[in-house]
Amino acid sequence: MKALLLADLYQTWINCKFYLLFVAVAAVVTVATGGSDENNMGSFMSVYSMVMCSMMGMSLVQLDEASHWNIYSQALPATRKDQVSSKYAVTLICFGVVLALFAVIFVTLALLGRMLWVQAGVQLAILAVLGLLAPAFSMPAMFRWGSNKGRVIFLAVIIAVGFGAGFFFSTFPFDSFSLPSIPVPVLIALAAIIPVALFIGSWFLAVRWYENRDL
Amino acid sequence: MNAIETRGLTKRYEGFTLDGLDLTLPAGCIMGLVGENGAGKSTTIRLLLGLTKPDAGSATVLGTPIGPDMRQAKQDIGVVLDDVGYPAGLKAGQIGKIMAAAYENWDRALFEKYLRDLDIPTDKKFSALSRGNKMKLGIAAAMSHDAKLLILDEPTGGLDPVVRDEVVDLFSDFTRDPGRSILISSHIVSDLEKLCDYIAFLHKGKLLLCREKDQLLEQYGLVQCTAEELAKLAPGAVLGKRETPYHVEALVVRDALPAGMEVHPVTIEELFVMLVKEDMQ
Repeated sequence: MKALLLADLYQTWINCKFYLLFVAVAAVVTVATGGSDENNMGSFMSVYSMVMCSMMGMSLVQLDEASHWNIYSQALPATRKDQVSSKYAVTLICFGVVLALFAVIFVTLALLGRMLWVQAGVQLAILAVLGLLAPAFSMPAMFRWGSNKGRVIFLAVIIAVGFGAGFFFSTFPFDSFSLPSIPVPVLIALAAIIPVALFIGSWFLAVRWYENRDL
Repeated sequence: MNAIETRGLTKRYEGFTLDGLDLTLPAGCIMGLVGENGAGKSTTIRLLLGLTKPDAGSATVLGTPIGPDMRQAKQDIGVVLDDVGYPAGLKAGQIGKIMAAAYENWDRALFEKYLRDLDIPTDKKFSALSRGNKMKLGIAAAMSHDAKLLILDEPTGGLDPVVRDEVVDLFSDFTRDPGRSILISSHIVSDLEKLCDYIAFLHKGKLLLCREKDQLLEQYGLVQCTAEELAKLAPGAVLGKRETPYHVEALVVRDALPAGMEVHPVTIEELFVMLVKEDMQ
């Protein structure tokens, strides 16, 4: 596991420098415009940074397949569970770095009075949910079917969910049904627990599928 | 303990079946896997490393049954695959650090010695190395952690004759320690002939034969004669033949020939080619 993680961190550093540059630019744009821009450029940049970083694990799987490291590394004293876990660990590290960076930015903006505390909290919650859900849905498919098919399946799921949601809300307008009144702390807890649970479940599924795959 | 033992090892793919492979590699020996493209050499190696699951049969490597968790056994196995697959952007030093994190007995000084001796560039990314240098780096890594077994899939492919000779010597030195074994597949049968104690012939997923090399060379030979002379030989004496306009060259069992008949030594390559051609007819 240690060896595979080291290899993944080297790969992340070597191949994903562009992402880091993008995150840095996004941070500067968010600081410059956060809380006051009418176009929500700062929000967009922070969300986009998180989406890109949440795909780091997928990118690593793709790089491994291109170089055949996914096969070669299995000749080392490591299990497939280690291989999957390493990708999830790198994804979590990237997620943590980006979330921490924007948490510092949003809190600072809120302290300076350039952003509402509620707005900062909601922005961070969106980043956290996105950063965990995207890899939770994409990674098992990558490990089960390989990076090319996995990516296609991931996109198909995203498109299906998008069309499904669009159809649902156009058929049943949001104001035509009433939501049960759920206390805010429970909502926050659910928003935190569900993505984490899905991320953990996704890891279990990816390990199981990858262990049964012929390399 | 045998280094490798397979019993009825079977793997089915669409259009190809590795069919009931029975192999035994005693500890301290070198076995060469010979076979045409698609004969099942790489499939055998993948099965032994647990990269793919067998459909039937069983196998042990260093006493450990093959399967998803061979972690401890793999500490003692050095591997070079046909396509050395290190991450493309890494340099030799970084690959060494990854190996050091993977193997308990990683010997950094030995790895660096191999890098120097084999003239492997350390300032280039893996993807920028030639096929030969990639292979040499794979060999250096496989031999730097005090492995008890080397599993090598076409390790001399892409190497020039001089380096190939050096590498074959390295493998030969490796087995001076009596506890160390090698399973090696190669198209370059002359390398295997120099190196191996045992030779296994695979053809279309089946094991044609597996014997000690010296036994094979003693048991079989080549005769050159006319078609009429060949027809007079005992049934079972001729295993394969090659006809030219001038004579017939036949692979024969020496013991089944009449006394006084001139028999030439056969090379492993000739033996394999004639056996396969006979099988195809």
